[in-house]
Amino acid sequence: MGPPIIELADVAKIFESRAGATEALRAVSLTVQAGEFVSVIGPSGCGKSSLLRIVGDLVEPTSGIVRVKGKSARQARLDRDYGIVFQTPVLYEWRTVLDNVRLPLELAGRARAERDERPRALLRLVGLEEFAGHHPWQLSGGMQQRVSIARALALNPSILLMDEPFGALDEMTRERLNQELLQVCAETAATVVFVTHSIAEAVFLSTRIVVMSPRPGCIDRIVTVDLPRPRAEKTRALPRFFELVTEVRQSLREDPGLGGEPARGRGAR
Amino acid sequence: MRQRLLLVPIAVALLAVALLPGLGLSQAVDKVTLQLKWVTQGQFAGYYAAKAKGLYEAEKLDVTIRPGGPDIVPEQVVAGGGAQFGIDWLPSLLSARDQGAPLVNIAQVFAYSGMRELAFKSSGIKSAADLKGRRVAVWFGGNEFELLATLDKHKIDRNKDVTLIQQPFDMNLLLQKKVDAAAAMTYNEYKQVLDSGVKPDDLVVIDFNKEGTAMLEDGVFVKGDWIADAKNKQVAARFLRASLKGWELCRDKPAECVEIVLKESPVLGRDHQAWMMTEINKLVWGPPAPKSPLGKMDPAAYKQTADIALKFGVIKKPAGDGAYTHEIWELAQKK
Amino acid sequence: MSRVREYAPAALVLVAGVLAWEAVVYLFAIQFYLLPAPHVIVQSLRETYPLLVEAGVYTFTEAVVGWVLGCGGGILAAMAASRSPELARLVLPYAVASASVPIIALAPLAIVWFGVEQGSKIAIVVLMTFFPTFVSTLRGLLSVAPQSLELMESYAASDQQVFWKLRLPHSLPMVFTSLRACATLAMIGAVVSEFFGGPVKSLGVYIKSTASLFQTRQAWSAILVACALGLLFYFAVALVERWVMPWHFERRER
Repeated sequence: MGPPIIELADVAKIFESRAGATEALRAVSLTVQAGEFVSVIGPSGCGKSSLLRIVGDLVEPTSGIVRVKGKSARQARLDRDYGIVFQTPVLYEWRTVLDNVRLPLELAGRARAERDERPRALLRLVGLEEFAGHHPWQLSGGMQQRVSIARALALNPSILLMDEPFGALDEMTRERLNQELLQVCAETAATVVFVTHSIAEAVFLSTRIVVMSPRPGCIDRIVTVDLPRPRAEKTRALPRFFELVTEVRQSLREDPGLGGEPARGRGAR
Repeated sequence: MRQRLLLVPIAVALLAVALLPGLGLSQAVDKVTLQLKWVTQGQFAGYYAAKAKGLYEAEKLDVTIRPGGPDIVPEQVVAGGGAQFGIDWLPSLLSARDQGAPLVNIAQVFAYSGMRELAFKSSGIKSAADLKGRRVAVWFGGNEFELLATLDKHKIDRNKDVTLIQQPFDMNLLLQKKVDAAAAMTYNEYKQVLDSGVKPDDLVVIDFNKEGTAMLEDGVFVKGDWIADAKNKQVAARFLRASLKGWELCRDKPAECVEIVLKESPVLGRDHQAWMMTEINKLVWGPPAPKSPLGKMDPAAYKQTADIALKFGVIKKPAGDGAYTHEIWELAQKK
Repeated sequence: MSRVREYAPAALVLVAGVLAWEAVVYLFAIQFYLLPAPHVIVQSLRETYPLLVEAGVYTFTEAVVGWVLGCGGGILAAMAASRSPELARLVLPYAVASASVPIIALAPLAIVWFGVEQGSKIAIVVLMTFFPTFVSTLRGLLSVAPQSLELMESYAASDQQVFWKLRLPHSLPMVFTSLRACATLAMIGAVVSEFFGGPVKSLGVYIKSTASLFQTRQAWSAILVACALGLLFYFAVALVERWVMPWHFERRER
């Protein structure tokens, strides 16, 4: 199996503000193996975005240990071991689509040849090669997100961190992009940590789903998705698909704050 | 029934009283406005004295005196109807007339020009001829022509032989020696220079009166078509009569006039206003005593001003005698 | 062709305005010294053309030099201030306050400090253009979206890289908006500060002295020249803006 590519041990995060201290994450422990597609799902405010950012060293944990590729999260970031995709495309309007994808290569100081050829190859991968000379505002939301994904892959990272990347898109575009994402991941063999609100999306995409409880966020349970790979449209119609969706949904509903039964697998607190 | 009939004569009486002022039968007070050339100071003491001492009131005039300032052009105010009377220098009046403004001088109060060009003795300038090749400052906007005439007299080309600078309303340029010569009124800026520690011996004073290039300064003017009306002629005569009396008062009791001016505006201080009063009196009364009585335009002096104005492009057409009238002055002398 | 159609309405309004002015002066028999008719002003312009050109160049130079120094200084100062947002937040209120000091109070002082020639006018223009540019540039540099910064962080970008590849390009639209506004301010500042004293061959002095001599035609023709130069300056800057930021205009035209 090999060593885990991401390890979180007892990670906690408390945000200090004028209003007081907010406990976003509490005692989160998780390991991710290389090649996995791990979704993180949970109600708003459960700290899933913070969790993602902690892995990416964009937010510092208050306590706990984070190891990415056997290094500290900081070192992994400095070594440019991951690419990140946000909910909004965050493309620079003064750069063309091609130049936006080229940005990471420029920042990493890659050689001229690579800086010129790789962006085009990536755009081909996401099917947007003919829009290379366009500017971001000339593309639809879905297309902009695809550019954003291409950019995240620019340095061929081992890890992709994605924070609700399709949250702003309509259902049909989202399903289509889900499929494309899986194809891209298959080609690049990246490990993905994927934050989402959508249960169906999580089940469709993932090998494992981490269900989080509301604030303070901790891992409620982890659901293993044993659907066959590669996933396709017909996967959504499988009975097992619906079972898994139901399982996740029930997990999300079982919140002591809402008066339901305590969830399984929570352990002593 | 009889009581109601009584109402009729009462109504008629009331009506008559209401209409009488319009008929001009009663001696009602005329409201007029005087627009000064500059801010409240001793330069206009005669008018302030006439108001304070009730001289205007005695002539049944209610006079509002409006101070001037850097961007107020008295000709524009009078032409636009903002005032009936204005004080300004004759060249400005001639220029306005040349542009088509129907203004007329009814009295020339200052017989002599108070404008000088000052230089430090240390600059090497001894007289007007030495201005050649120098940096010379003067106020523009109508005040520059005496200087230009003087330059011309000494064959100094104003475009080639000298650098002309528009002077701000302070003497800093001269005091900081950024220019070699600067304009000054005897009654104002000259005192400012002395107050800053400069001694009269340090200065060279170029006097346009002595150069023969002086132009007439403060005079009273009105709108020509306003004064065409017989009633307004009377109003103007009454105004002039009281104003000239005011100037006589300031000659005889200068200290009192200084106090009157200070009461209107304490800004410049007693010391400065007293100096100003003394200098202004010299411009009005001399010595040497002016050829023409107070307020009556001297045709020869007028001609000198008009000729210089034509020569230096203040006016495009010769001025002619229509620019001033003795009529109002003569009316004012009666009584 | 579409460019012509774009500017045609504005041109028509201009022509209509001039005709209306001409008509009003004629119909109401307005005196020349109160408001001259357009054709009279044009006539005067043709008569005094060489003098106005010389004065125009003199005043325009003050405006341009002051603009370069003021805006350039503002941009550089903002770049320095952006390195420390805390410092920027401290300095900003004072910068804004000092920009509200009226020129009328400062122009005479400038003459005392910098002499009566172009130096004092340039100083006033610098004062008028420095602070708006400083504020706009700083705002542009610091108003970058947090996620854009996170993106840079995820690629381990150095501060230099963040500045040149993100902050600076992001701030360009705001910088240019300020540069265009300052172009008009510069011309106004130069002319108005000349009212307070200056060499005869400058627009401000010319306007002031002709106006006070009732020579309103000449004054208006000089005002026209000043306006034309101001517009020229503005459009020159707008042209540069278009060249530097072609993407910005394409976006606006959508």
